[in-house]
Amino acid sequence: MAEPGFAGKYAKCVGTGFRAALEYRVNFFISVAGAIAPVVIQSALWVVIYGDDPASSFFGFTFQQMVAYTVIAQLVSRLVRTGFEYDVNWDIKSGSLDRYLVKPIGYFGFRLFSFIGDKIVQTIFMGVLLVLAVWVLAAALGFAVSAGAVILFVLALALAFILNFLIFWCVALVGFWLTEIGYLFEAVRIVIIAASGGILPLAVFGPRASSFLSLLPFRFTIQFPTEILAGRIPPSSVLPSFALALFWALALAALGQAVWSRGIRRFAAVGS
Amino acid sequence: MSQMEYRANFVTGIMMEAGYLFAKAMYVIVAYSAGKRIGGFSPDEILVFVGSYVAITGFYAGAFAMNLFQLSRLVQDGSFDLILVKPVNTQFYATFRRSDMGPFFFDTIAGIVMVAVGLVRSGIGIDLTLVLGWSFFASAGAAVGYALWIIPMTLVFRIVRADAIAGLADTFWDFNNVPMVVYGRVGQAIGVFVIPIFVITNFPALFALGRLPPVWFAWGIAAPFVFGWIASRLWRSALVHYASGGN
Repeated sequence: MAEPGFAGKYAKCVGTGFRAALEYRVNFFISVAGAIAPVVIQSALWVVIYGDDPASSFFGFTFQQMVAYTVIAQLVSRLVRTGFEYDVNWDIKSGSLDRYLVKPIGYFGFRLFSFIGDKIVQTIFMGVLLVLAVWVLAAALGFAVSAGAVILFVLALALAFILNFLIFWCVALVGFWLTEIGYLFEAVRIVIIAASGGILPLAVFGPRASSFLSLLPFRFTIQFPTEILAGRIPPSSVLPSFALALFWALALAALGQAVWSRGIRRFAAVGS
Repeated sequence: MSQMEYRANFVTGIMMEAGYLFAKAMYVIVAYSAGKRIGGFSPDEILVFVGSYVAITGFYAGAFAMNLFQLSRLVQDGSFDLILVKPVNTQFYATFRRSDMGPFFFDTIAGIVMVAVGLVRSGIGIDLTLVLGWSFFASAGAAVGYALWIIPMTLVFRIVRADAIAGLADTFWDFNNVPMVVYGRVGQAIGVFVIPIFVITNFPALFALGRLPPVWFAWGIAAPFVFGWIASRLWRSALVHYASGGN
């Protein structure tokens, strides 16, 4: 059998991730079900805060906008979530990383394309859920989504996948220096989710803090795609925002490459 | 206590809880930023609720969460056999055998500080009665929380792969992130008497604020016994279905 070409090798990685996603679909469904709790909690909170005046504005959101943000952000947050960093950490800790070093594919490429394959399955399911959610929001609150917003949302979501992967790729590579970092991943994850607007909109931190956080890459993983779909990004800000997100993707890729180069030199195949 | 061997894990465990504390604190930020009373409670009083929630989360995260999440694996690979043959109560040993002191101390201390700050800012004097009463209802709430998490986990003896259930049950702990008053009368009734998740962290806060009605006061004392009994019975009847897996 002829060896697959460059594209064929990574296409197989996509297939690996795709099959793994199908195998662990129950875990994903449970994760989505877990999004119900924060939606219910926050919706109940907003009902009380906005009270009898849903047109009033808190943190720059009306009641309709805040509930829509809550629902969409929770679904996007579940969709862009990673988990491969535990596999990377295990590969480094156990020494099994060395078997990937002799394969005719790069380890970064293997992880990235497996991640993409994994996300294909989840995106299909989430797409259906998002359509349902938008339909319910439209019926209940008059929430409207334009066709242009949907197209930009798809682009922003693709960028969010890449950015979140790169962020956690850089975090995962800390495993070259620390051996027990399971809790560290969770610590980083929850802070990044908060800084991404995945719990509450960044506006709750106040104007100065939210302006600073808006410049960081985290916002583009959850809040930016959410606000694109909700039509909250002014047209004049769309291109500059995408440009900033692309800049962060390139910066994180460069950082990841630099850390990988140093880490792999340090790598000792303990346990292999 | 064996977790203390892994010092890096101890430190990173605290870092993880610090991250979760930050996430919980966001609801406090909302309360203060909104600048209005939420369900009749001022932002400082909301701080007492969130502080109680954080403190009791320390007990949950440090004392038995790890054991509940590992229960499924123990049943799958047959390690649960070794727990069965120990000369101690199986339920007690299986659910308390490992503890994580880092998150326990971090959350407990942080939560108590938040409660104290909220009470002082609300102009409520902290005396021995308040401290003992809050501690009692916090302990009772922790006992109710323990029972509520044991009940769904007894399914592991029947269906083996129940780690997803543990994850799902874990997300419902977050309903205590905000005072139960935001959920309306029906939601409160369900959360107090049917699936008493609100008893866990709301009752200590309500007691400290002097707003715990007599019926709820009595239920706060009775609920740990009622649900502890239910959890114990379900555990024993589920254990009958245990079949050793693994080797």
